[in-house]
Amino acid sequence: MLNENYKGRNGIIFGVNNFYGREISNFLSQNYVNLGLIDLDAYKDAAIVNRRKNYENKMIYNTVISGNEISFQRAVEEVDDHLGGIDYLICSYYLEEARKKTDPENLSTETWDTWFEEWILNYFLIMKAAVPLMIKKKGGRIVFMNTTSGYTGEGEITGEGSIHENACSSGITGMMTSIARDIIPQGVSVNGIALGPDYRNDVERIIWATHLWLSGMGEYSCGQILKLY
Amino acid sequence: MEEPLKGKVTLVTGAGGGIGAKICERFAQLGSFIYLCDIEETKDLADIINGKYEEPRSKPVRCDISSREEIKEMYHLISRDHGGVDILINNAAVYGPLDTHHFPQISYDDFLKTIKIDLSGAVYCTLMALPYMKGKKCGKIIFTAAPLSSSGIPCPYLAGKAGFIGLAKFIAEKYSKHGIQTFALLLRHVNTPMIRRVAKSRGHNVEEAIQKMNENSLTGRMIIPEEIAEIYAYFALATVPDVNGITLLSDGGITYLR
Repeated sequence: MLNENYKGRNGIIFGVNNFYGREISNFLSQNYVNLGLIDLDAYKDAAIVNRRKNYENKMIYNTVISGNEISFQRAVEEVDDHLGGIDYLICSYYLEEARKKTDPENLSTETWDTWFEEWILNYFLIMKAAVPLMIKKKGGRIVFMNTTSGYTGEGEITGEGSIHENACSSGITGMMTSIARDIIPQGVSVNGIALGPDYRNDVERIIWATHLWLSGMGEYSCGQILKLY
Repeated sequence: MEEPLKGKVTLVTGAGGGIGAKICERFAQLGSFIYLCDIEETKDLADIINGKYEEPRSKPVRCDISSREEIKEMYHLISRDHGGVDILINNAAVYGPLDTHHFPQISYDDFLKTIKIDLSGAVYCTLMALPYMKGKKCGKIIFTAAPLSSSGIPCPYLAGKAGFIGLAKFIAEKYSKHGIQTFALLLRHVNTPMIRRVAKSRGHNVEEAIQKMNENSLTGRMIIPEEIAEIYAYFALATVPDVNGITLLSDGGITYLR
């Protein structure tokens, strides 16, 4: 399937308020994908709201509470009801710039718990809520996002990376690889994109990678990650 | 016998397990004083180790590493008695729920319990160890990790163990100038009681499963805890500064050669 027509497909974007989530929601909206936009915070991208009238897709927005399984289940079920099924799930959470630069010696164990929850645990929760619905439909495509720092250990050299970003990035790779193995036999693919240090100037490549995974072209590459160094 | 780690303090998490106990014995043999950190009692292991030497070489510390408070208490004790830790071996792990291996059947509670031990516990220990090591301008942090590929490893366990790769690399980048070095050993199947429990929980005949895992390795066998302890000792003794942030895949060739 080289040129999948996205029209009429339904997708969830978790982490829509961040840079990557916004870009992907624009890309998918332009391609007529109906979207369930989910984030920890209230939807704040006025640009998408304003442009929404130009789109023909359905859109619903939901907030979830970090680490709260029930809130994730409710949000996903609501999207499923509103859109009539889920074909795609984009996990796009990542850490903000300020957090990336937190010195380990200034990082309390309490703060680690919060940031770790916001990333790894919430990825687990959104998957846990959405995957059974995809399995029920006998198919779906999941794209998760982390950063290349999980592989390179970038620290002070690039100005990127931190103890939580690096550990969470490689931890997410491990988690998603295991999940990919569990659910690909049921028709649900899981692949990833690791953003590089200059990701804000890398939108075209990010969209290209997302399309590769969502369109099905890369479906035989089970549980793989495109590293955008 | 030469004791090159004499005067060094080593903290081993998961000290009472199949891998941990062998690490503790080996590091004590090399002269280090070992804190035997485990959620289970490790007094017997401490007695065995201490019985071999004229002076005590180990001390059991009962600690649930998923608890921030217990970690803080443990480090308070270590700081009071020895100043800090020279060598930290983040080895503790639980495999996760034995009755459910597959996503999405794994519950959030099970996921959380597992990853809090397997990843957060190591992060807590590392954060607590860094200031002392930085002050001394030397320190070694070792991780018992897993490769970024699945062979049926449940997602909470692999999330935690794979997280060590990024953690080890970051600490190496950030703290190499302070003399702190990291090393992560990426293991797949290890000949320990844990792997027997997992095989049994999956309804396999344990001996047949062990034989299959042995055959799956190109070496015809699984790695044993004594070999792991030896590799860790080799890293702990390394004086080459650039040996830092290393991840070593030790899987019998399963990942790339099969």
